[in-house]
Amino acid sequence: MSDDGRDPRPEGLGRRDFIKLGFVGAFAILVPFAVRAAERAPYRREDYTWGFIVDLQKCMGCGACVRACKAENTVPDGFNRTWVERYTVRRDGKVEVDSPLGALNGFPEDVPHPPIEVGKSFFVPKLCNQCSTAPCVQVCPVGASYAAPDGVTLVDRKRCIGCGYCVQACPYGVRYIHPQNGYADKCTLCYHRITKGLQTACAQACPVGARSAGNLKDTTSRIRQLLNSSRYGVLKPALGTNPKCYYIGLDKEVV
Amino acid sequence: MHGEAISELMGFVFPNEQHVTWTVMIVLYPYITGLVAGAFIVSSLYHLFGQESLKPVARFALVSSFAFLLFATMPLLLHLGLPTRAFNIMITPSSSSAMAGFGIVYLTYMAIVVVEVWFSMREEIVGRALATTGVLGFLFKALALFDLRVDERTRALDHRVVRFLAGLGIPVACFLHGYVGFLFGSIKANPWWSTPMMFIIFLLSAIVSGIAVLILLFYVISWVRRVEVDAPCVQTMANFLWGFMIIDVALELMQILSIAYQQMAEWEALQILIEDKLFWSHVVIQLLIGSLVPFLLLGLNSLVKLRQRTRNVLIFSSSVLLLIQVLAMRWNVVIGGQLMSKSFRGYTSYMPGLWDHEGLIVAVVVFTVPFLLLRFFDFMVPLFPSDSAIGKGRPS
Amino acid sequence: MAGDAHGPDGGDEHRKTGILSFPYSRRFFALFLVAILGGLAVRAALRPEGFGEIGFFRTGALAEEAAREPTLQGKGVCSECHAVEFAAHEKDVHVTVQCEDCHGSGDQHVKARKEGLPPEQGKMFRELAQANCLACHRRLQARPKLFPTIDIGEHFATVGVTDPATKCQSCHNPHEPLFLDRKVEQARLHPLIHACTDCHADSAIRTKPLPEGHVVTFQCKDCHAGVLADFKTKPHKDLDCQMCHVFRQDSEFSGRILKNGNPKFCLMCHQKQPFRGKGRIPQLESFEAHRNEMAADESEKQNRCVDCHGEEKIHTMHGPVVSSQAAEGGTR
Repeated sequence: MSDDGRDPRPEGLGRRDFIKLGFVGAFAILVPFAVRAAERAPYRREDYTWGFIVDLQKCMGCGACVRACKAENTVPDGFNRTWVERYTVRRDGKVEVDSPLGALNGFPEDVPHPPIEVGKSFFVPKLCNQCSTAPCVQVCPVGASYAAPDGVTLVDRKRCIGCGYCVQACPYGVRYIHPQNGYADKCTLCYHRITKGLQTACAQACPVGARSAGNLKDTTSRIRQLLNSSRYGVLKPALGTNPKCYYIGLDKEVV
Repeated sequence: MHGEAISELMGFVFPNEQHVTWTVMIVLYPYITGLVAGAFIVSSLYHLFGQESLKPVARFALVSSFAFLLFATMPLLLHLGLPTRAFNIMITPSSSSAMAGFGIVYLTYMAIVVVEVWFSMREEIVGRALATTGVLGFLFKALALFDLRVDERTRALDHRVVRFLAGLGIPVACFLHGYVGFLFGSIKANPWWSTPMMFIIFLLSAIVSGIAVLILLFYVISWVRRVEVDAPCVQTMANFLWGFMIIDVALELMQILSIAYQQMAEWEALQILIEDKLFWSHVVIQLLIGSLVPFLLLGLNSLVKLRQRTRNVLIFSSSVLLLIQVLAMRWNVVIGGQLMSKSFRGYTSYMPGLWDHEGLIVAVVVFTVPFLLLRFFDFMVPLFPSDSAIGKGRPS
Repeated sequence: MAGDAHGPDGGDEHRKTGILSFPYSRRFFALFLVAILGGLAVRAALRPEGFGEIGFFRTGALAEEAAREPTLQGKGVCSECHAVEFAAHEKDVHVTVQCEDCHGSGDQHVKARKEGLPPEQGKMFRELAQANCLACHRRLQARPKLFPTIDIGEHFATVGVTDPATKCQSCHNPHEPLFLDRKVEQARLHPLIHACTDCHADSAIRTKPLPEGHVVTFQCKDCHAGVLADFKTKPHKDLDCQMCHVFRQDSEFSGRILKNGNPKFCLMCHQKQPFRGKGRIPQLESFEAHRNEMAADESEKQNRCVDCHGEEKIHTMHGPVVSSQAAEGGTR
């Protein structure tokens, strides 16, 4: 607005403004198409080796990931494809671990120890470790549990006989037999999402960015950058499963 | 889930571990294949290793092995989440999976036992074919493949085949049962199972259970037929039983001693498993009542001169106790291994339901049916040689 | 094999009876062979299509798994219709929270709307209770110290709420919890400092000397002593600096200091509410009502609380912060 309150613009739209508007309009219409086309670029398996990274310094135990996974993958009641554990290390060295309903409703209560007794305390989300040499794949008698060429361990629901061998062989307890359908089930790293350029349901839901899946083959990916810049660990390395789920800030007490 | 009681949790277990996946059916499966392998070994002790005193029980042992074998897959089918796909294990068996070996080994062993049973029973079958008429007669003739010739040469051939298969069958029987032990022993994720000794421990306890069940049946059938039990036969079996159980229990104890001595990171959790969660089933039933007592009783029987009646009591009770011991061992391994969480920080509990498809009632039925089948086989064709007391006592 | 020794005549002069010597054995083994070959044929026929091509599995399974439609939509899809909420959401501190984290999965809702079904179909969850907010913001010892948490009793006491059943959204709009007047990413950068309580729950730690190699800690007063001295003479003196100057240290926006002039922010404490006890905190009917009451004429009407309450005659905040004030209190 100018000082004397009059509108300095001429009446109506001038020619220049009309042309500018035309350009802007054309771009506005075309951009969504370009974006969608980029999204629809075919997924090439050979360009990917999927891994997962969890930042334990960020996780605040809200359980949004557990709820998102349940919704995305219709995980049956009483079983979890992912869950969050709470570790409480007391000053006298005793460790307590809990996970109410797998943190489906977060953690409704604090631990029954006053702060003066608690040394450190933290949350650890758990999921399928997507092992490079997965024992679950090794032991499946019918070739239903398999490793996809892009590094994701999956279950062929049409082949599985529900023997439960893979459930026993998994050192991380991430597998279960579906109580209604009878086949083995587990976290699939949301294969149906990551192959479409989306993040896994749990990573998308996390409000603090503690979880994400990424392409280990791409040196510019977030997962690669984090692995190259932080101290991280994996679960049960001595078992030789070569997990591709990496935990930044992993504590000795986590099993 | 599955009709089991809600699990009682102690400490922290991973959410999916609250539910025990391998149930009483998976306890029963190695128990039954153990009887298969053990009975076969007894049969081979006569046919191949010349233990003449075992002649009365040899054929019966072979047919028992066959009867148990026919029902060995029942617990597995009842356990599978999708039993209609059970044949996948034979259509696309994975070469890296111990469980896939089941398909090949089972079929091979079934083939061997079927051939061996047929050739071993051929003379009896022909005898029944000649003695019966009508539909039954036709069935027996068909079973004999319409060749009713029996003479020294056919007997010689039959005997050769049986001997060969008795020898070939031993490693296959060992595989049939041993692969289960290997399967458990090679699961690195579970420290209660993971040991190289599991294969041999399972095998030896299988032989113990096989001998024990044969002794038991021999006593029961002799009693039913009101004949004196064949003393040299049971004594030989009891001696072998004592010998095998010593090695078996020694290995079981060795395994525990080894993990207790090494004290790897998971020992703390395993110790609570043995001393608390499995106290009654492992320490009391498997070790004290199931191992120590039969060891003493059978030792007495094998080393001291006693009256036959005393021997019968010692042998019979030891056989019963050892059958319980082997069942307890299967339970402690299969269920025990799943009670301890892989977090090494907690334990769940397991009690099978009563009526569900993996429950106690079904388990009892599955275990009982092979015995009924044996009775049926004996009804069709005599399982005991006609020159033995027990064979003579057979109601015609 | 010594089988022939069992024959009555020793059997040496006879050829060893082979397994095909008799009709019964021939028939038996013929049947046997048929069974084996038949089994192998059946097995080959039943082998699933595409098995073993790229690995020991059914190739088709991979495509089947990838073809599943995603259930969770992601906030981008929500923004196509709910642009107003989305704009507010993207500007405020809940920008990292997905719509579906609070409202549940949107797949049925999107499907119903696309198919033009009546509004009752595919309704999303909207009735947030205290527990929904506290799922993230409840104080738990395991939560990272830098993540904003509250003890609900303490928080209500500070902001004068007397009814313990008050829902969080009675003051905080879940889409713009702080009513920020500018986007979080555009908030001013402040040197990243730590207070003792950022890592230590034990307040007694503050009295102890810093061990070697310890991260340098500051409190606001260490650099802004003059401002704080002034603040302590003003009505807001009992509040922590970070009540209004939200200082993010925990996320991608770490190091941003949010100095919020939006009147809605002030009204979170100062709006008259049935759940708020009277007395301690001055309460207004509304921003407009107060402004109309206080301003002498149109020219005195300001758009933000701080525009009037930052001036000398009705000063309730504190004096201006000058950058060189870092030197005022000295540094350690």
